[in-house]
This record gives sequence, structure tokens and C-alpha cells, in this order.
Amino acid sequence: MSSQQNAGVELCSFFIFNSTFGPREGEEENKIIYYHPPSADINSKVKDVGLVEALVQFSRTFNSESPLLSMQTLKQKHFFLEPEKDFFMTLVVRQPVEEVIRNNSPYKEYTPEAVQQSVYLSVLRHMYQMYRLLRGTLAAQSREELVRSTAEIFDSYVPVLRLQQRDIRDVYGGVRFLSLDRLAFLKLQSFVNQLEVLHPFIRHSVIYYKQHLTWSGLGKTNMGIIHWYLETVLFPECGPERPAVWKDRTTPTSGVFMSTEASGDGTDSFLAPPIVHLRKHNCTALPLGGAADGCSRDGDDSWNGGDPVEATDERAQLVLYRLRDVVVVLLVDLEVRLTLPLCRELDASMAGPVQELSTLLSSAINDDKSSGKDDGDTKLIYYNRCNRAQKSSLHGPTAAPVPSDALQLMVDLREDALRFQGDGGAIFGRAMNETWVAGRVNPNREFFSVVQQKNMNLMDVNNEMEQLCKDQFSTIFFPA
Amino acid sequence: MKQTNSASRPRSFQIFSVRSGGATGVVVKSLDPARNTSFRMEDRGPVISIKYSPDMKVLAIQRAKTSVEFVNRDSEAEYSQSCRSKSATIVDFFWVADSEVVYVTDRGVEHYQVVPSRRQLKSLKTCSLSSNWCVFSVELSYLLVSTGALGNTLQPFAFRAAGTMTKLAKFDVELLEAPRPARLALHCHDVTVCSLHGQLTVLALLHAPPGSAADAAGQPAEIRVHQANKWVPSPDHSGGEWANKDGSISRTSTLQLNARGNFAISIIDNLVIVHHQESKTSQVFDITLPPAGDAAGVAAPLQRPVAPPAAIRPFHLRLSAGAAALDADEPAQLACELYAATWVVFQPNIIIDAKLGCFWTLELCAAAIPGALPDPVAAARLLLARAAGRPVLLRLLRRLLLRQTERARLADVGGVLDLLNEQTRRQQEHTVSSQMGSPVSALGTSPPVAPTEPAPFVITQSDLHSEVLCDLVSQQMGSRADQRWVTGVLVECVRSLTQHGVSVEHFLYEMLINTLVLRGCFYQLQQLLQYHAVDDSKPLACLLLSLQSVYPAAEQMALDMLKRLGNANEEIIEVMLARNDVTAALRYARANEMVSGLSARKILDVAMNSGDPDLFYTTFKFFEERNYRTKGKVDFAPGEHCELYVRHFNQLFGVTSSLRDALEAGQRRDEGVL
Repeated sequence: MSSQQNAGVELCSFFIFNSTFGPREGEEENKIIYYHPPSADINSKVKDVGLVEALVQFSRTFNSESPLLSMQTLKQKHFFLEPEKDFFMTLVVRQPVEEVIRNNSPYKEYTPEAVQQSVYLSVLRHMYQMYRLLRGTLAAQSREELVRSTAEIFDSYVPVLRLQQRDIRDVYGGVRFLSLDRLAFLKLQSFVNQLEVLHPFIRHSVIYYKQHLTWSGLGKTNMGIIHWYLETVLFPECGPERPAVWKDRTTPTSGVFMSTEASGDGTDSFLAPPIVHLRKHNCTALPLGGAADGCSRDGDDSWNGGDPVEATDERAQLVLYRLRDVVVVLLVDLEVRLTLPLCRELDASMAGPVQELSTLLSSAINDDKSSGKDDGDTKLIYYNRCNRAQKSSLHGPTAAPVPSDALQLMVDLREDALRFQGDGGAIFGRAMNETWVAGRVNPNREFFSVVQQKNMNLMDVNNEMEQLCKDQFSTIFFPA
Repeated sequence: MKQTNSASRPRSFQIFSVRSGGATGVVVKSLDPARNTSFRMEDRGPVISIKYSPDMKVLAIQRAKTSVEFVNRDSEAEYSQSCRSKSATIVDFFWVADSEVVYVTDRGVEHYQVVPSRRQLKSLKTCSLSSNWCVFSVELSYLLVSTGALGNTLQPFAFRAAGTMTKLAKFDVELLEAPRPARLALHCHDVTVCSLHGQLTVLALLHAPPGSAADAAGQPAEIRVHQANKWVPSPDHSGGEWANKDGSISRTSTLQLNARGNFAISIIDNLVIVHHQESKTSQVFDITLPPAGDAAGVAAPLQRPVAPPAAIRPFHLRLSAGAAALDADEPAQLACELYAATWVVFQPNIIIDAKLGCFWTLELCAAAIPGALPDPVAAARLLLARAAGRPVLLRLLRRLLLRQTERARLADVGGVLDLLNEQTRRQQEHTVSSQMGSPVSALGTSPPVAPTEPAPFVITQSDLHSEVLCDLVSQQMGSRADQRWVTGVLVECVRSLTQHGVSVEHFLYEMLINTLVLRGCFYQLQQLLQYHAVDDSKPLACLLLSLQSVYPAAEQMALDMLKRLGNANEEIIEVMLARNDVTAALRYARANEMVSGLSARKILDVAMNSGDPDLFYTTFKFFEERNYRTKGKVDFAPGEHCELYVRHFNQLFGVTSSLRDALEAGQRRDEGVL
């Protein structure tokens, strides 16, 4: 029953508009930058935009400080985001329908609790971040450019949004780190440093092993955005069938350069990787003062678009190199043209060490699996805002899925826990079917678990939680 | 003129100049002026060989094929000893101890004790075998006798304890190609007995026999290295160890000479130096270098020279003033011809020019190593094994780590540091094992453990710090490349030390963290800590705490570190108080059973200054309760100096304390019951 609930979550529409593009009557159509589904007729598009404009105006008369976030109707939920001044992104989601018997007759009941505000606002934020990553800020482009570039990005991306599968992980937007031992990490570092010193045009390098982040030379904010992008676009398809952009056939052991964009495929003579826009405060090694300025904002959960500090981005080429289970993400200076000889040179300096690393990391991940005991009855999620580290056993490939009402309860409990004062605390909730959700939060770390055992009371859950914390967090100061 | 090599150690090496059979004088020259002497003796025919005993008390003179005469130096008493087997001729004889001499005849080996007081020799042991020639090493007390028609079967004898001669297992030197018909193919001057890294080593120089197929094909000469233990380089090539074999001597590696002609060998500081007369160059070999090519499973891997062949540095003989005055046109200095045909090379590093009448010792110039070897890792490897290499290596490190050379690569930095730390680790192990004595098992059934030599020197982390790293981090880090290089070098330091199990000193972590902070690489710093690449310590936690104004997440890292340390509860409470989180501090203190030792004054002060009356009330009550529990009274002890806070409390909430009333009422009740 509960799984059906989420299954009903569906995208109604997604649109971006800017009211200043069509201020006069009769020009309403110009306000629309992007509208999905494209098949909708122009009148309903204009009508939808008008509704949001009106709502925004209306709500401002009551509260000019905090923005309008969402609107709920009988059948739908609207989510709003104004990432840059006057640019609005709206996501309209249809709520699932539940068949109930009322007065001896079947009756359709909409379940708004299945569509949680924080989850879908996060989705909206991620969509903007991804757009900005690939095309830069909205304000920097003319209307015509925007119409084209938003279509390029969202036409392929919106159909694969998988709105039904969105949960607390999207709220966190964290990254999975591979747990490595000290020496393995230092060897990895050694490789990264050698690579970057050898090729100074590499701005940052990021290393993944089987979708686990093992090293990030990017700042926290940029890393979060790129991770989300790669996880959405690259990793689900990161199989052998993905066409390699370029591969040196003379040495069969070397890796492949990949592209995340179909249009980004290189020609025979050089590679044309996608260009990404990085948030500036993390881009370069700034002097102490400058870095402090940006970093104090870094990792801010209530991310606020349109901030003048972040208004300028820095562009870099996103080069992906895969060998065995290792993906090396290189952010390369724009001026550098990735010609065939240069790719071959990069490959030559990476292939050997990456193969060694792959062996090293595969043993690390095996240790990781054996140490992390996966209790069938208890599912965990942990998030550290300071380093965006996220660990989750909610969606194990083998274990039974967590009931969606428990996942929803988790998001609700988290919302409540955010209001805790001081150094945080504990929170408990009981979902249906003997399922408990318990959480421990402090301002930077959050830990939630789903406990599915028969006949448990609050004390039992608390004890279970204490034990879990003891097992999981022996090396960190949490929960204090 | 006649020279003879009386000993293989440079200090005991003596040259005898015998004029007119000794009648006009014998001059003995040595590297040690104390061992220089001259004397006259009766001319009784040509001298074949003449040698002093090591203590120079007895002179042995061989004039006949079958006997040796002995002269006591103090009394000039003479006596003689013929070899025991009548028809044998003496191949050579050696002093193996102050009063022990050994004859090698073509029929066997005869070991005698010399008794100067009774002017006679006493036979200790004889061993019969047919011999071609022999080589003796004083340093190792090791005699090699060549037997067999080809001369390539070598029979070793050891003279370890006084008065004993031990016959060891014989071994064969495998020839490039056996000559047909069979004739002597391995000669005395082709075999060198020496000690390399404390290991007895027999070097055999092999040429393709003239007229053979190998000779026609122009096969170069090679030196085959024979040892009892085999050097096995570690997989990362940063070191290696002597692996025990069964104890018998066999070929362990081959030195590839890439030339043909006349060769001579010198041994300096565990290096094999092969002089080639035709090309007037020398090649240097280090048998502990990783062999060329894939050596896995190869019994005797091929060794290449450590550097391209080069000539010995020219030597200018300064002529005495008198000689120069005789002829004004004569230059004051004479450039000596190198690799002259008149050169005679003796072990280990003596070169004699018979024409000039000079003898030199060949030395290794450590300072020239970096110039001769462009690869810094190879240069460092050589320097680390030389006692004189330390200052040169430090200069090399400086140039490399500060990127003063053209091609400074981070991989080389890692490689050099790995060598350094491997040496440090070996030295530590050596110190430990020498303190603990040899393990019992070594005496029993298992083969003896190959002895580890003490390292000539080690470069410690503080050496690195003062010589290189200080300047590295203080230099301007303008470009992205510079900053990366500095971080890269520091990471390599930590990685290499960790890899070799050497504990990393605090300053390295501090430098690394500071560098990352200066670059603004906070997220990278966080990952460094997340993977515990940095050892936890209180000073580092404090450093992190100091960063929280520029990077707020540093506080979390510091707290995590303090928690892991396990003995830093006080500091954790300080951190919480610093952020005015009094309740968290108290809760933490209670959870860790620290309440009784808490300084009430400090915490009350924070609570008072927070300006939050509720917080102050809670804190005050917390301590009243604590006072009651520990001392039975709610009042603060006078020593705690809390009067100020008591007054503040009374001002805010009045004098009456409900807790005090309740507790005291309870106390009265208990007393009443009692």
C-alpha cells in the first residue's frame, strides 16, 4: 500500500519564467523561458505562469523577507524557487491517489503527505544547480540564449527525474566517501599531486571508485553539485556500453575518456568535453582572507541563490577518465585544447598509477563491506554537513526496501529536529507496521535509523539507538 | 724492483723494494708511516716473494720453489720451512695471523704455526688438492684455491679461530664458454675476494675464450658475483635485505661490462669499480641496486653500471722543489697518465704506477655523485650508502625539494624520501636487534640470519626540517604550481614515513595543514583528517580549533580528534565553554563522570556572562547539587572562590534556595530518624 503511495507521484509540469521579459500586456508569452511538457498549449502555459506571478506578488504583501516555497491544491503541489532575481522555477507535482471506501462507495483521496516540501524543493534546487553548472547563471544570458540552453539541458533531464524515488538523500545531497586506510589514502594523494604537478593545467581533480568519492580537490559546494550531476547523468549508465569518446588503441590497458553529454563527443583530432561553471569561491587557491569569505558560506544547507558573492562563476572543462572501476574527474583550464597527443599524454601519466590504485581501492572496499554489518532490521542514514559525507543503508541492493511512510516520517522528523536549539538532541517517531524512526541530530551531523522489530517501545528504540551510535561513531564526537 | 702485496687491507699493505737481492737494501713503504721501514739483507739469490707478518715481527722470504725462509726482526735469527710434500712447489704463501702462515702448493694447502722463539714452524694441518693458483683476503681470512683443469673450481678455506683452518664447500665459476681443448680458463688476476655490505663476495671476471664462438660474436666480458647470501631488493626498490641461502657460495648476479679487453677491479665503500684500460674509463656497480629488466625469479639478475663509464679524475703529481730546480723547463706538476699500462691494481683500492714509482689509493668523491647521476633517486641511493654522502645528499635534497633543478618531479621526491626512510627504519631495526642480541633460533636449526650492517647515517625528520622544509614552506607560493608542489612534497614526506612505519613528527602535520589553509583548501584538509592521514594529537586539535574562525567546520574536526584521543575530556569541555554552550559542557561532564572535578568558578563565569538568567540558574543549581553529593552541603567550598556567583544568584533569584531547603529538610529528617 505504502509503496503505491509514492508510485503515484508524477510530474505535472516544470517551467522557468522571468516576468521582466514580458512586462506589457500581450507579451506574456515572452516571460516563459522553458516549459515542460512542451506539448502544452500556449494558453495553459501563460495561465500557469500568471498564477505563480500572482501568488508571488500576493505572498509578498504578507512577508517580504522569506520567499514563497510551495502551494498545495487538492490534486497538485507547486514548488517555487527564485534562484536568481526575477527568475522563477516552478515544479508541479501530482499527488498520489488512494482508493478508499467511504459510505460504501469507492472514493479517490489525494495524499499530500507523500509529496514533501523539503524533498521536492531540494530537487528543484538541484535542477537549478545542474543548469548553472553546465550553462552558467541565468542572468548572464539573453532570453533567446536561455530558451535554447534550458531546452538543451532540461529536455533530456526532466524525463529522467524519477520523482517517485526522491527522499531524504536528496534533501542532504551528500556524497558517499570510500573508507580507506591511511596509507591507501596517502598513496592516492601522492598520485593526485604527481598528476597535478605534472599537468598544471588541471585545476582540480576528483577521484571516484565505484561511485564512491575517494578524493575531491574541489570545494565542498562545487563537489556537491558535481557529485549530484554525475550521479544523475553519468553513473546510472556508467557501463561498458557507454561509448568511449576516445581511446588509445595502441595500448590496450589504458583507460577511456568519457563524456556526459551526447553532444560533447570529440572528433578524431581532439576531445570536446563539456564546460562546467564552478562557483568561484571554491575555484582557486585564494589567500586566507578571501577563502574565509567564501568558506563561511560553504556547506550552508539553506542555500540561497542570486547572492552577489556567487554571481560570477569560473569555467572549466570537465574531463572524465575511466579505467577499471576508477573514474578520474579532471577540471581543466579552458584554454587547453584536449588534442589527441595531450589525451595520450594524460593517459600515459594516469593509466599505470590508476591501475595500481584500483587494486588498492578494491581491497579497501572489501574491508569496508566486511566491517559495516548490515542489519536486516535496521536501516541507517548519516549525514555530516561539514564534509557532505553521507552514509546510507536505506537503499541496499539486496535488503528489503524501507516502507515509504517511514521514509516520509524521517523527512518530517528531520524538519522538526532542525528547530532544536543549541547542540541538538534526539527525536523519535513511529510509522505504521511496527516501524520506528529515530534520529540524533546536532547542528552539523544528522543520523536517522529505521528500526523494524516487533513489539518495541520507545525505551527499546532508544537503547537500540544508543548502541548504534556507540558502534558507528566511536571515532567522532557525535552525538555529544 | 719487487713489490709484493702482503695484505689486502690498505693499512697493512706494504711495498718492498728489493735492490740487488737485498744487499744494497730493502725499502718497505706503506700507507701507514709507522709501517715504513728499511733494512739490508744478504743477497742469496732472487727473491720470489717477501712478506712481513701482520705484527711485523717476522719477515718471510721466498727464494726457492719449495721453501720459505723466516727472519725474526729483533734477533735476525733465520730459519726455514720447506713444504711437506717433497715434489710439490709453492704457488704462494700468506700470513693468516701474527704467527700463522699458510703455504699453497700445487699439491695442497699447508697450515703452519710460526714459533719465532724456537726458530721453527709447527705444522697445524694440511689438506691435499691439486691447485692452479690462489687468492687470499686478509680482511676476511679467506683463501680461495683454484683446482681442476679449467681452474674454475674454487676451494675456499677459512681461518677464523686461531690455529684452525676450515675447508668450506667448493663451488664452480660458470665459464662463458669452456675452452677446447681444456686448458686453464680462469686466472688468478680474474678473481677478487672482497667484502660488500659485510657479505663475503667472490668476483670472477670472465672473458670469452679466444677463438671461441662467443669471442667471434664479440661477446663482452662480464663479472659474475658469487655470494653466500643474496641481496633481494624490495618491490618498491626503496631497499631490500640479504636473503639467506643454504650457506654455500653461488652466483647471485652478473655485472655487465659491455666491453672487452683488460680490466682491473677496485672495491671502494661497497662499490665495485671496474677499470677498463683500452677505453681509459671505469664503471661503477652497486650490487644492491634493483637489477635491470624483470628480475623476478632470475637466479643471477643482470646488473648495469650505476652511471655511464667515466674516467678517474686526473691526478697531478707535485714535484719536489729540488727536482724542479734541476731543470727550469720542467713543470712543477706532473700530470699522471691514467690507466697506464704500467698500472698495477691491488685490492681493495690501491693503484701502483710501477714506472712513476707512485702508489695511490682510489677514493670515491661523494660530492660528484649527483653530477654523474642525473636521476636523483639513483644518486640518493648511492649517497645513502656512503658515510661521506650525508652533506651531499642534503644538498641534493635541497635542490630537489626546492625545485632548483630543471626536472624536479614529485615521483622522484617520493622515491628519494622512500630511500631515506627505508634507511631510518633499517637503522631502527638494527638498533633494536643489537640491543636484544641475536635471536636464539639463529644458534639452532635455522640458517644464521644475515647480519644487518649499521647504516652509515640517517637523515631524520628534524634534519629535513632544518635543511629543507623550513625554506620550502617559507618561500613565496605565487603560482598554482608552486602551491601544489609544496603540498605535494609535504604529503610525500608523510606518505613515505607512514609507509615505512616511522612515526611522523608533529611539525610535518602542522606544515601540511598550514599550507592547505594558506591555499584555501579546507575541504582537502577535511579529507586528510577524515582518512586519519594525520595522527591525532592535542597540539593538532588546538591548531584546528584556531582555524575555526576561517573555517567553521574545523571545530568539528578538532572535537572528533579530541574524542579519539580519549584523554582530552577537559579540552572538550573547554571547547564547549568557548562557544558558550554551558549545558552541553555539563552534560558531557556528567556523561564522563567528571562532575566532581569540575571548576565551578569557570563554568559559572561563562553562564553569568551569557546574560541568560535561566542558564545561570540551571548551572548554579547543578553545582549546588554536585556540592551536596560530594560534600554533603549545597554551599561552595571557600577554596572554589564562588562568592561572586552566589551574590549574583541571590541578586537574581533571592537568597532562598528550594534545593537547599529540600535537601536540608531531608537531612534533618534522616538525622531525626537516626
